[in-house]
Amino acid sequence: MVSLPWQAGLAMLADTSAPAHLELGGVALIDGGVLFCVLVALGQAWRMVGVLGGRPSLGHAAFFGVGACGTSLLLARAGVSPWIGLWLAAGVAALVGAGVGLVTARLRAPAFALCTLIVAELLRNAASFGPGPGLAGGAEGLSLRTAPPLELFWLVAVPAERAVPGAALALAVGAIALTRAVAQGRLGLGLAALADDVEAARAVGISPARYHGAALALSAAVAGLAGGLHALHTGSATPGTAFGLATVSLPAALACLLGGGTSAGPAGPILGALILAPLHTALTAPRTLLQLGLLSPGAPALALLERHGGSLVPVLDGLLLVAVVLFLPQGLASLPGRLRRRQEPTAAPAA
Amino acid sequence: MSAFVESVLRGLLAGGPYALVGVGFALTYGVTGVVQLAHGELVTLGAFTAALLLSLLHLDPLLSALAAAPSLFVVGALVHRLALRRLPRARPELALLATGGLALVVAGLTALARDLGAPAPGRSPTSLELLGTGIPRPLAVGFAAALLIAGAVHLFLRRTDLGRAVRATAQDAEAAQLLGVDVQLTATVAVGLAAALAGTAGALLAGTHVVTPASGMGFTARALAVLLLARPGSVPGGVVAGLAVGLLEGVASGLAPETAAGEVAVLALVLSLLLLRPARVAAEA
Repeated sequence: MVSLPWQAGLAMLADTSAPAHLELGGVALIDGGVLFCVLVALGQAWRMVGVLGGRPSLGHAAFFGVGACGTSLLLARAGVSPWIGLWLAAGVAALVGAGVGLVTARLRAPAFALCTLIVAELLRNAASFGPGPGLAGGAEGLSLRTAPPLELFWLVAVPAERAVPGAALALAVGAIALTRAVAQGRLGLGLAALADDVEAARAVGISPARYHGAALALSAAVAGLAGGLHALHTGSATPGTAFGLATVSLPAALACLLGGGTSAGPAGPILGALILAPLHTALTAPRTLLQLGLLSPGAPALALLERHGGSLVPVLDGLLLVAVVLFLPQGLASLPGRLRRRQEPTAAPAA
Repeated sequence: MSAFVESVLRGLLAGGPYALVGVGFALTYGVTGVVQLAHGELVTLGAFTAALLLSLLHLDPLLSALAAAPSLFVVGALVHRLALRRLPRARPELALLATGGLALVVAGLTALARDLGAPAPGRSPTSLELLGTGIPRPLAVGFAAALLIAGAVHLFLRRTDLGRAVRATAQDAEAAQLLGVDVQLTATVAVGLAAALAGTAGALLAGTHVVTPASGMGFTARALAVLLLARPGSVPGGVVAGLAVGLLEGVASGLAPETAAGEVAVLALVLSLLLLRPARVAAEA
């Protein structure tokens, strides 16, 4: 993929005197950058449950959606600044995660995955058509367009346009650090033990409820923050997309699996997001390709993408997911190793 | 007839097609060991295929529902040949992710087809009410057709050689193979049949329910409910389970009309069943 946007993006953030928008690609590139950070954070959160915990989740949209719709609800109905609402909503998401973790602690991977899927669908339906005139704004969702500036230490007011991408980057970095800490700490060891042999782990005193509950709570908090920030950036939170399997849950899993598969490396979700974010941005905002000079204005491909790109995103994600499970369960990161092994002369056969 | 009773009846009648969806789902799970999350999308696909046939050939809606079945059979067979049989049986959770991805692909392609001009499944124009009860005729016809088809499937599984091969493969594929059953071919036929059942159910439901490319997961949830409720391998059990799911949906939406109560009730049922009998979805390889 083109390296220019990321270098330029980093330069933009570092240079505080530059205008909030890049001359080059403008808003679309920032969208891509924020999407990248959100995917990294989501992927890391998913990794905590799906890789470290050994049980893939199909319902991370539940936590993402709570973050997104919670933040927008707090702003629209209670006037709470989204910079505070973000944390509150993430807290609620953590509670939901803890609840799901506790209730499903004894389940094995397939049943767990299905339960997470159902929980996300339940929340999606409840939020779309909740009691009264739509708890979360009904099917159209709530608008966050009037996002106030972020006030740092009551001194500096960073305009939202600059603060949100910065916050997204901070979230991504934080998610990487947190997941790494979990993996290397006691929680990660306990999860690994549970993934290996539940009965033996319980015999040693590792409680599935405690460990899975904690992992899911942390994972949900990160996913909730990601959802809230994403809603802040796009300006609205629609329950249909915030809680969606196709829009959030599976891309989260894909970001992690595409990069590193089921092995535990922290770089997995980063690699996966690095591939997914540009692809998604190209399909949903084909203008970016125009501005990067990859397509000429009259190209038929541009018109095609503008009309149908949105519908193609889930098709792409789905195909990638199927391909990863069938051919690359260890993710793209395992490719170099596999190619190397192919080229080495075969070892002597075992006796 | 009060609105509540009407809602309950509508739910019950929708349970007929739900039973078909569930029986197919259970069949797929039985022969492949995979929980086919894309099954609901096949229901949607069937509805769209029937709508296409309807607009091209101007058939009676019921006939176009049946006419859609062969193409869905082919789709199911292809899905099995290309994807399902290669999924890792030792890692069912990964297989779930893959079928989830498959659901995305089918839903996305259906949406694309609709954007490119394929006719959307519309409510059947023959909304003649049945005996003045407010029950639309297509719903009752769909119910009756579904029961007949379920009966035919039951007879197929019990009385024909191929049906027996399917049951044997579902019970113990290794033993069946040792006894001379071509397990792969049998499984392909079974999955194709399951897809045909799903597609026909979708076409039958389209007369009275709104079916969009996003409807798939709802159907998959109902199919899951049937799988978890019914005794494995039993078509009559599947029919009863399907009717029960429809009944639950009807009661819930009757109690809280204009909300998603029916959907929520079904999802809550699936969640409870998953927590109560998780072993039903954990086929030992």
